[in-house]
Amino acid sequence: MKLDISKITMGHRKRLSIIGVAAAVSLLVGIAVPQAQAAVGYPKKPVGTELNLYNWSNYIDPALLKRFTAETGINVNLGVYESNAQMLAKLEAGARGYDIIVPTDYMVQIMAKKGLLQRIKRTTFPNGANLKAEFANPYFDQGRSYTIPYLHGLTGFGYLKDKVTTNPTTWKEFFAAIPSYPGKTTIFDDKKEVIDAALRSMGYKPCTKSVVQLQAVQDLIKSIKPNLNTIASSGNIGRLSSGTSVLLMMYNGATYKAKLANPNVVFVYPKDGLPLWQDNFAIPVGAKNVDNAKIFLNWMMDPKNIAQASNWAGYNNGITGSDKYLLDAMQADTAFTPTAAQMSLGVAMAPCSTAVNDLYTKVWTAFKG
Amino acid sequence: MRIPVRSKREPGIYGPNAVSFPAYVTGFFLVGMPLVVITIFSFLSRGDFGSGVIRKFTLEAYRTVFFETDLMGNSSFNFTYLHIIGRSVLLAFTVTLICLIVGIPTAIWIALQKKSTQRVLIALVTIPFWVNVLARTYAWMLLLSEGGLFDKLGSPVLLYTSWATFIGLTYAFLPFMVLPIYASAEKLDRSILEAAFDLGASGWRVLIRIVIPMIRFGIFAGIAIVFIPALGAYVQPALLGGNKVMLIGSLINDQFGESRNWPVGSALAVLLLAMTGLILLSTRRRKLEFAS
Repeated sequence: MKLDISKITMGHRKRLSIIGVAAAVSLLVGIAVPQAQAAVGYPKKPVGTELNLYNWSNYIDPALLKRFTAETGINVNLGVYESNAQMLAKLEAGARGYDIIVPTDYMVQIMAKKGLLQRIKRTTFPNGANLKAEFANPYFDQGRSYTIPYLHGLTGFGYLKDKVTTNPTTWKEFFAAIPSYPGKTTIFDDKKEVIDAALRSMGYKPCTKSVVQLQAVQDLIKSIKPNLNTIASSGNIGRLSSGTSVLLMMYNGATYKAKLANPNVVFVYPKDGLPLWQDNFAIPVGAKNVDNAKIFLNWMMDPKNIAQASNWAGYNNGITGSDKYLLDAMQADTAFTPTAAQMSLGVAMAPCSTAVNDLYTKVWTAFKG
Repeated sequence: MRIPVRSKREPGIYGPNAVSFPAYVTGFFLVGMPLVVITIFSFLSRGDFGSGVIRKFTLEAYRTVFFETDLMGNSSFNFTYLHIIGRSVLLAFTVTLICLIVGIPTAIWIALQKKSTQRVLIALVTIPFWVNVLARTYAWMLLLSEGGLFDKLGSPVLLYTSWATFIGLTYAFLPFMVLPIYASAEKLDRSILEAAFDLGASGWRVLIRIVIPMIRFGIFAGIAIVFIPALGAYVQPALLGGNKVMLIGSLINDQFGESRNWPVGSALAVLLLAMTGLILLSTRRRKLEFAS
């Protein structure tokens, strides 16, 4: 599906190839690093009525966007992507016209270093101070000069307590339990999540450069592979609640949703540590409706509005005062609202260096083989 | 303008003309240019943080594809990618073969019906295109899953096995085999078949010696448009096969995505293109043998 065959005859081929090279070169020039734009303060009123939001698919309440339009007169055009890499590739390939993007923590760092994000001067926003302390100064954007927090979650594992009776509480026990449920277990199709979890299960740190440790990871995940039914990052809510998989790698919010459908669902914050991932709103360089984008960011920092986003998506947010607007069921469930002790197990998910990423790729390719 | 009858069966022998200009423009911008860009990328270096490319010539991408340094630092010829490519080719070949075995009789049978019946049958063949391939693949997931229709009928649970991948791919590509073969079978001159029967040929002999050679262009076209997309298949192995084996399509996708290595992704795409080109060239040669 990726290739097609051109049928250019001999006579045309030479001429066309010259044009092709010229076009390709001009395309390469177009990819050169865009210049950063100067930060300006909060706008007094919208400019025009357009706002182009480029978000993860199925990641914002459509009713919330409608209410935003009703309250501000700004129409939101929603484009969606499936992965950070896809979004980055699109922006790097020169896509313009997106006013707001939703990069995950590590991707913020990469994009800021590449000069793809605009500074937003959050302190000039009316709601600019509404940040929970633990989300005000993340490693990827110290002082929050490029981003405001959207939703966050943790990657642990879920199981059905009527099927899995060993009560696993760590990654070590998670991987050890997999062979007991052949064809009924699932892990993410995500090399970083899987390799990091496997490293933690053996007491090692994510992003290790140690080939001995990575070899051990490779051996471990290859040994459990025959017991997996599928390797998938999506569709796991249905898999868990229906019992297609009884033990699987899960996000806490997704597990909360699965629990609504099946009360036997349990979410585990593994005691050997788990990644905390944070999604953020940012304004990319090249945005056309910067003022409207800032109005949207400020609006989303209103506790009531961000709480509606949390209630719909099932993930908590980093805005102070939003807790009281959350659904009661969410506040009562530790899968959605971790206890302080559970939250302290979470470690902000940081990117590995390119060299380590290449090692991860080797392990993953050998695993998938 | 009168078109010579021969041109119907042997397109292309009259060369390009003004009418085909839009096709060349489309081909150039949508196919040719991206391929040139990909080829150039495969000879460039990785960008900062691994994504994108920087304009510095290197053969590093091809070296990575053919030679590997394992985790312990030993360098050796890299069989991993060749293995993945080989597996993809085998999968595409098998799917093409099954589509041929099912598609040829189906297409000929449709072509032998009354004109009005033909129209209905062809409409039925094209009905799956009305629904997105992803939605149809999810439908197969439901059918093949535990508690699904096939399970209830007593079949073993096939979801998340290679069998499910085969079923999904064959299902998805069968219409692409049937339609071109039907298009050429429909033009079959029935009097020739009758003459063959009158001269005492058996049904099997008529099929092998007359029908198949006369519809060969349809068969070649069917092979090409089934084999090539099947080689890059991505959706069915991921959703139906359980995503447990790496195929060339997902390998290239990963290089441009999470692995953030555009040059290697490009080099793999160029290799795939070269292989596909070789396969097409070989069918073209066979075409000439048939024609002579």
